[in-house]
Formats: sequence, C-alpha cells, structure tokens
Amino acid sequence: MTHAESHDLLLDLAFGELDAARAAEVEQHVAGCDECRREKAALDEARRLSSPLRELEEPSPGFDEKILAAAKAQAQLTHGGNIGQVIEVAGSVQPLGLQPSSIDARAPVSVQREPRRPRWMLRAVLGGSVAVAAALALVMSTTLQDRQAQTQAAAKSFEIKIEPAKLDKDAAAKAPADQPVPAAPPPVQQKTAESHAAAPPPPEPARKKLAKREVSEAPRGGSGGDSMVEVPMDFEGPPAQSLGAAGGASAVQSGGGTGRRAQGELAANEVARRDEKQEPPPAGEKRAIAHEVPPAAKLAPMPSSVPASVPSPPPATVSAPVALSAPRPAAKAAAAAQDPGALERRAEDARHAGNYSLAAGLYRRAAALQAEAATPNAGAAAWDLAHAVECLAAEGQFDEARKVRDELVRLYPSEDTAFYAAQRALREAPNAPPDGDAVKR
Amino acid sequence: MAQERTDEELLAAYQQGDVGAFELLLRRHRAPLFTFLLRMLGDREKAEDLAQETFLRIVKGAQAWEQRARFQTWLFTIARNLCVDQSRRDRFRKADSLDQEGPDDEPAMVDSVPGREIDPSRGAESSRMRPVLAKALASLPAEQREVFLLREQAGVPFKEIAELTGVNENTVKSRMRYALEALRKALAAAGVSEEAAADEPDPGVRLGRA
Repeated sequence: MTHAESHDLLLDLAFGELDAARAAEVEQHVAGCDECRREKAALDEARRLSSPLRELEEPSPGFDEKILAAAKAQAQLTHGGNIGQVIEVAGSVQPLGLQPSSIDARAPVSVQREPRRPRWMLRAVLGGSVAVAAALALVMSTTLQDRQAQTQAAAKSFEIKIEPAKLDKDAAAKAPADQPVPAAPPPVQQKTAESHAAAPPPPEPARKKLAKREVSEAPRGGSGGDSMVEVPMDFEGPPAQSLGAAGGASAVQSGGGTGRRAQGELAANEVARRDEKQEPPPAGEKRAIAHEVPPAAKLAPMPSSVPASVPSPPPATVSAPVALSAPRPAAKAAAAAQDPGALERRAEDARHAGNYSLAAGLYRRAAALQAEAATPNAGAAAWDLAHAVECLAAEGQFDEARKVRDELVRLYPSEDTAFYAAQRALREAPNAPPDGDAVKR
Repeated sequence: MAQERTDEELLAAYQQGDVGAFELLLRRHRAPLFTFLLRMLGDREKAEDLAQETFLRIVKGAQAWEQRARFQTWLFTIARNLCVDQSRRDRFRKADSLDQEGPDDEPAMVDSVPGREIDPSRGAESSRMRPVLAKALASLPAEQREVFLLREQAGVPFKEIAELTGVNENTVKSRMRYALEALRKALAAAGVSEEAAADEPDPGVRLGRA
C-alpha cells in the first residue's frame, strides 16, 4: 500500500469503516510511516476531545405522541383500519372473484365520451313526437265534438212539447194502463192544488223516464238546482242510495224526507239503466209530464183582472228539469208561485243555466204578476217582458219573441229602456229590420 | 434470542400496517436525530419541531419507500434538508449571533445550547468541557459541522454522507479532517488538554443509543 493510499484511508481506519484485511494493511503502513502515524494520532486526539459532543439529547416527553398518532392514522388510511401486527398468509386471498383495481394517479386523464347520436336522428325523434302529439290532439277534439253533437241530437229527439192540460190527461190515462201503482200514494196536501188531485202520479217506469229526462236536460255542472221547477210529487222517490248524492246534485228533501229530487248524472244514469231493462220505451213515444210548467200556472190561474192582452204562459215544454222530488207543501209552492220576485229569481237562474224557454215562461208569468199586483210595477213588468224576449230570441223562438216584444210595446209604451233591450235581442233574428227602432210604438 | 430487526425491516413492517414497528424505529432514531438538529441549529424548540416534521414526513412517505438506501440515510437526508431550509429562513432574520454576548454579561447562546440537560454524572470535567466544545463546534463552517455531526454523532458512514449531502466521498472526508483539526485547535486554545479528556469514553464507542 502506498503512502497516499494509506493517508486517504486513515480517516476510515479511525472511524472503523475498513474491513479487517484493509484495516490491517493501513495499520501496517502507519506503523512504518511517521507522517501517517502523526496524522492518525491527531485524529484520535480530536475525537477523544470531542467525545462529549456524542452524547445524545432527548426531546421533550410528548415528542412521540403526535408522530405515533399520525403513523396510526396513516396505517388506517392505507390498510382500512386493520392495523397492528401483520400476519402473513400463505397463498393468495381474493375476495369473491373481485379483481383489485389499479389506479394510476399520474396517468393522463382521458374523458370517455358517449357516442354522439347523429343530429338527423334527434330531429327525426323530435319531429315524430310533435306529429304524434298533434294527431292525438286532433283525435281527441274530433271525438269530443262528435260526442257533443250526439248528445245534442239525442236531447232534441227527446224534446216534447205538450200542452199542460193534455199532459195531465195523458198521465191520468196511462197510469192504470202501464202499471198499477203498487202502493197507494200518500195523500197529497192538495187543498190548494186541484190539478194535482186530478192527476195521479205517473207509474214507476214513467217516473224513471222522467228522472232520466230531467237529469239529462238539467244544466251541467251541478248548478241548477234552483232553476228547476219543483213540482210537488206524491210518490216516494227512489232510495237515496240508488240515486246517490254525487255528481254535483243535491237532494232536496221535503215532506219529512220521504221524497228526493234526483239531480246529477250518476243518479240519472242509474235510473235510466234500470228503466231500459224493465221497459224500453216505444219508438216515437212522446211522454210528457206536466212538471215543467210552473206550478203557479196550475195552482194559481191567471186572475181575470189581468188584461186580456197579457199573454198566457207559453206552451209548456218538457225541456225543463223535472224533479223526482218529494212534494213540497202546496201552500209554500203556491206562495212562491204568487211572488213575482221569486219567479224573477228563478227565471234568472234558469237563464243563467241556459234554460231559456223556462226562463221566458217564468219572466212572462212574473210580468203578469207584477201587472196585477195591488200596486202595479210597470217598469218591472216591462223588464220581465224584455227579458222574456231575450230568452226567446236566445232559444231561437223569434216569432214568439216578437209577439212578446209587441206586447211590451202595447202594454208599457213608456218603458223605452226595456223596449230597446228587447229590440236589441231581436237584431240577430232572421228578417229582422236593420233598424231596431223600426217597430211602430 | 431473536435478532434485533434492522431499520429497513421495521419500516417494511410498517408498510404492512405494523405501527409497533414504526414505534421501534421512532425510539431508535429520535435522540440521534434530535441531537443532530440541536447541534446544527442551536435551538431546542426548533430542533424538536424539525425532528417531528422529519418523522411525519417519514410516515407520509413510508408507503413509497423502496429499500434502495438505508433508512438512516433517508431519515437524515430529510432532516438535513429541513435544517437547511430553516437556516435559510433564519438568515433573513435579525437573529442573534451564537457568539454575541447576551445582556448583563450573560453567557453567549452557544455556551448554553449544548450540555444543558447533559447527565450530571458525567463528571465535573466533562461539564466544564461541554460549553467549550459547543462553542468550538458552532464556530465550524456549516458543511464541516454537518459532516462531523453526521459521522461522529449520528454514525452515518462517509459514503452515505456523500450521498446525503450531494458531494463526493473524498470531499466529505476532507471536511471531516478540517472539522476535527479545528476542534482540536479550539479545545487546545481553550486549555482543554488530552489529559482532561482522558476520562471521556473511547471515541469508537457510541453512546446513548436508544
């Protein structure tokens, strides 16, 4: 070993970093080399002098806590909480065929996009949807229109116009022929209702048909109970259970709750269904019940004091809602029939419900009562007639409307406002004069 | 008797979730590391903070550690880098010099840094020598002090110090020679003779290994 090599290894020798063979070679050289021996002695002296610096210092007592807590947390994070002594297991354990996922955090991010559909496909789908929606709307509207037309046609086919007197006679004649009344109807309070005493109640099938007619012609929407002409009935109506209380109808009870007035389509359908099963009506038969006529027309005939020019009530039509109601007290009905205000309110209700024929009759009756009152109210009577004209015109009965208008002019020539109202209602009438004031007053 | 596990085996065990293995590593290296930092920085609080930070970085990086270098080398590399950063930060502060006299004729900081908690059983001569040694060590250039502490106190071989500091091994040895010569001269100037240090333990025996 050369001096240079030995000099370079003196430090390694001093710190014991040489293997035994190498250390022996260096020591052999040092033993024969004064310079290397002095160098080795200086190193050893410096190390001995600095030996106090090798003493170790201890950190404060809580030094380990934070580090160990971090070490445990990191182990839990890495090994899912299974920390502690590791137990090596021979072989491999693979849970239920699940493949471990490998995630390369440094891998380039690649966004996987779904294959984009061609634009023409989107347009085709959108256009098809719109076309289907339009077709559905068209079919629905056509169906509804057809159904409405059928309903109106059916209603017109059943519309019957019968004189009240004849109606009573027919009913009286048919009653025993159709079906005997199973039970004697309760005595009607007819001290003031002479016509009712003469007209027995219609047989059961007839009553059911009446119910059907009434309800089918009743104004839709469940309002119209007040617009009906309540006719005292001397039979007990169908059970409330069969009629039902739904459908916007309300059962008006009277006479101790034995009678019901059927309203609403559900009840009508039920009655009609039973009617069709039991007795189908003969073709072309026009049945009528004298129920649409305002009871006052029967119960309180026009007094003779009424001027002859006052028109009599128009022919009765069965288009008015017919009540399967229990009889009302005759006195109450008579009182209502004699009250022009009550008649006007009912006429207004009927008009609002679209039952213009009934409304016109009621208005004309109210006008007659206004005229024959102790203190005649010409203005109210004129307006009642004007409203009657409006209702008749709305119903398309222009000839009858003109007659009422002429009557208005004749009886109340000073009631210009009412006249103009009646005249305006007739403007839409065919063959109407261009000038509404063309009528000679 | 079971052979004591090496640092690398303990760290591998901790990689598998054995926290107890890491605790052994901590107990084995906390004092040398703390002492190294204390000698380098001269501040006990800073040394303790940096020592904790060093071990926390070991915890964070344990899973990525590969046994290509000794654990001790990795540990002191982290500590040295933290120490260098701390020294750079301190350089921008108006820190009192280690040699500056304190107010009211208090001893210089360098005199109070080491030996404060040295075992009193070491003897009066050793206690008398420690401030002198500390002052002599503090007077060394940082790179010489670093090499001296890593080799003499932490026991890191020259080859690994070369890796750790990023210089070749011969440079490390040269720095060590200069450091030892400077310490010897400083102690001689302070009146510390070889006889005074005769009762000190043999330099080849490492002390205080936890």
